[in-house]
Amino acid sequence: MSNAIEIKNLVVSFPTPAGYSAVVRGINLTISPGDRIAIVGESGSGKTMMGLSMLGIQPTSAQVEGEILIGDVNMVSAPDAVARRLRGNYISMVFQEPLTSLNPVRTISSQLSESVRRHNSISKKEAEERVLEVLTAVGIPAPKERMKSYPHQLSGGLRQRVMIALALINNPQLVVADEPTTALDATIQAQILDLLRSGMGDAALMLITHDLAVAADVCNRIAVMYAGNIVEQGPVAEILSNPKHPYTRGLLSAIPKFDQARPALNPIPGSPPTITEVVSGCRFASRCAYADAQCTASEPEFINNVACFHPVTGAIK
Amino acid sequence: MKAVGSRLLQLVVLLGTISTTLFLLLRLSGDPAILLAGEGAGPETIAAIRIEYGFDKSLTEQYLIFIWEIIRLDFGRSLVNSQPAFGFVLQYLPSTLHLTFLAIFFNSVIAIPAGVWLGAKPNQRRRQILSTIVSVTQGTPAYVIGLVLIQIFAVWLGWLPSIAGTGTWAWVLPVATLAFALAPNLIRVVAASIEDTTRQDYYRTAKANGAAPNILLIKHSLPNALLSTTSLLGAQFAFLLSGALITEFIFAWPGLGLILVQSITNLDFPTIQATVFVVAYLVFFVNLIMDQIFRFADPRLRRSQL
Ligand SMILES: Nc1ncnc2c1ncn2[C@@H]1O[C@H](COP(=O)(O)OP(=O)(O)OP(=O)(O)O)[C@@H](O)[C@H]1O
Ligand code: SF4
Ligand SMILES: [Mg+2]
Repeated sequence: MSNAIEIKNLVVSFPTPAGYSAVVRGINLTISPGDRIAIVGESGSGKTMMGLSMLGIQPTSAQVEGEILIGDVNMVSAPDAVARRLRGNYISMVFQEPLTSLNPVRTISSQLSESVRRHNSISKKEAEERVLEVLTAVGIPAPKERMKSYPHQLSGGLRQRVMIALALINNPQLVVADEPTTALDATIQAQILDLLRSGMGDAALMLITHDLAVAADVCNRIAVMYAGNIVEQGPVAEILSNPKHPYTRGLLSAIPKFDQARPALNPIPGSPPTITEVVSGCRFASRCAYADAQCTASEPEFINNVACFHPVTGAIK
Repeated sequence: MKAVGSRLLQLVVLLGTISTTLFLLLRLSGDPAILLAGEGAGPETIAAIRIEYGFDKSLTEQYLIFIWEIIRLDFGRSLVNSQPAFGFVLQYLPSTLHLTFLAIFFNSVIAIPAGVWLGAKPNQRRRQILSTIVSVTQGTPAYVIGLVLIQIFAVWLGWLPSIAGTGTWAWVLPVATLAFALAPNLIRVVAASIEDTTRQDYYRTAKANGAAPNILLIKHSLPNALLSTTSLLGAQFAFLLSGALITEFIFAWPGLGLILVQSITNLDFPTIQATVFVVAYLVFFVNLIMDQIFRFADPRLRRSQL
């Protein structure tokens, strides 16, 4: 397979009193095998909805259009029985809140073997061996004992390792990790990021985060989302040193730099449009220092890795 | 152990309150000896009762004696048939247990699958069925259901007896009445719990791992939903034990509910008190058993092993 996944013109919308409103507004994205791409963007920009629809597990009220191609299967239109065979097997997902994301009344082992046995015709015993193997691989100490534990008996960090083990257990080609460290405290965060950086085997990683530093740390590519669109994407070094989109620039200068004597935080003033708000032209225009008449007249297309009429050049000050 | 202790404390407080209330009720509502002697009793009878029951002693002394007696489960003799009240009431227990177990059984067998069916796929049609069930039955008291069942099956069709002890099938109508009275609530709660599980993160995780709808239902929704339904079942159980008063009365079912109604009608204080105590003990044991079931079924309540 040439690509791990290919997303074409993905639109995700929800019903509102005024008809369907899109929260993901025509995204194109290709992830190659072994690729590590970070999706960064403010809260509500549609990162999670994009991730969920890649597995076809968006909320039932959501309407998904476009194409999400995994091999020759289009996850948007494939029958559930077909999509199901890929979920947890070819593509898997790690969620933000590991405690609530594991079934509270079932042991770690039973939840992991359920997934192995669903996608492989192997015996219970072989499945348990696989569970033990993957728990060991994600760095869970005393994995044999932990297998028999219930989620509430583990610490937050171990639970997230279990979630990652669950995502990896069938050797997927792509793992979508949705803010996997947000619910954890700082030292544990670093450990989980280490695991994401070097413990994912051959799987490609799509890491959803609102933290550019985390993105730069774990991934080699960054896609910046704003109000349902990818507004810029490129290699990490390129995005960090030479961001073209005014929003990316804003995000970068919002990162506190403790080694420099300057005011720590410089967030972008204003807020993104709400999902029902009708915006003419560029959705960032109301907050953009570079906006002009052209920007409010029509919406910029995504060309040369950026969706902006006036891409900025030069290093960030 | 801690749970047992706190249940025990609850029981003591409950029984203390009930017995003190009964004690005061009997003594403060006029001359208890006259009350107990009943209408038309001569002065000698009243005097004899006053001495037998110790009403001539001081109130404090009476209270202490009273408490000591109930600790020994000695509630005095029934005013109606002079049997020791406690033993008299106990005779009615098996009958109530019989009714309770059957009613809970049929209630669960009907309501749990129905609730699961309604909650598993909350589409328009199933929602309508659910809200119809709830709106029709919620306002219908058990005695109406009982009377309707009697009218149909005993009076019109003549298929089933309506009075206890009049044949092998005498249990059917009272059990059906209770099951019908309890089922709507159970259906509603099961359906809501099942539906709630589908919004949980672990459900989404299972989906993300390729679980098919039937697996989602059986392995992920059901265990969690049934767990949250257990407490309602426990409450329904306790409710039935505490005397399905009206149902037992309608069907002349010789259980705790019937004896309580009768003893209240007769102002048979010793029997009232003995019945209330038996019921309180039963509820105590049901709660204790429910606690254990919870502990067994919900790993979060077990002692953590790590
Ligand atoms: N079930 C739903 N019904 C209607 N709107 C929804 C639903 N779920 C999400 N949304 C809306 O979709 C938009 C995108 O949500 P999404 O969760 O993808 O954002 P996000 O980028 O992941 O944000 P965060 O960083 O807070 O996780 C938000 O405006 C949100 O309010
Ligand atoms: S298109 Fe215009 S408004 Fe939008 S980001 Fe570029 S410069 Fe700003
Ligand atoms: Mg999100």
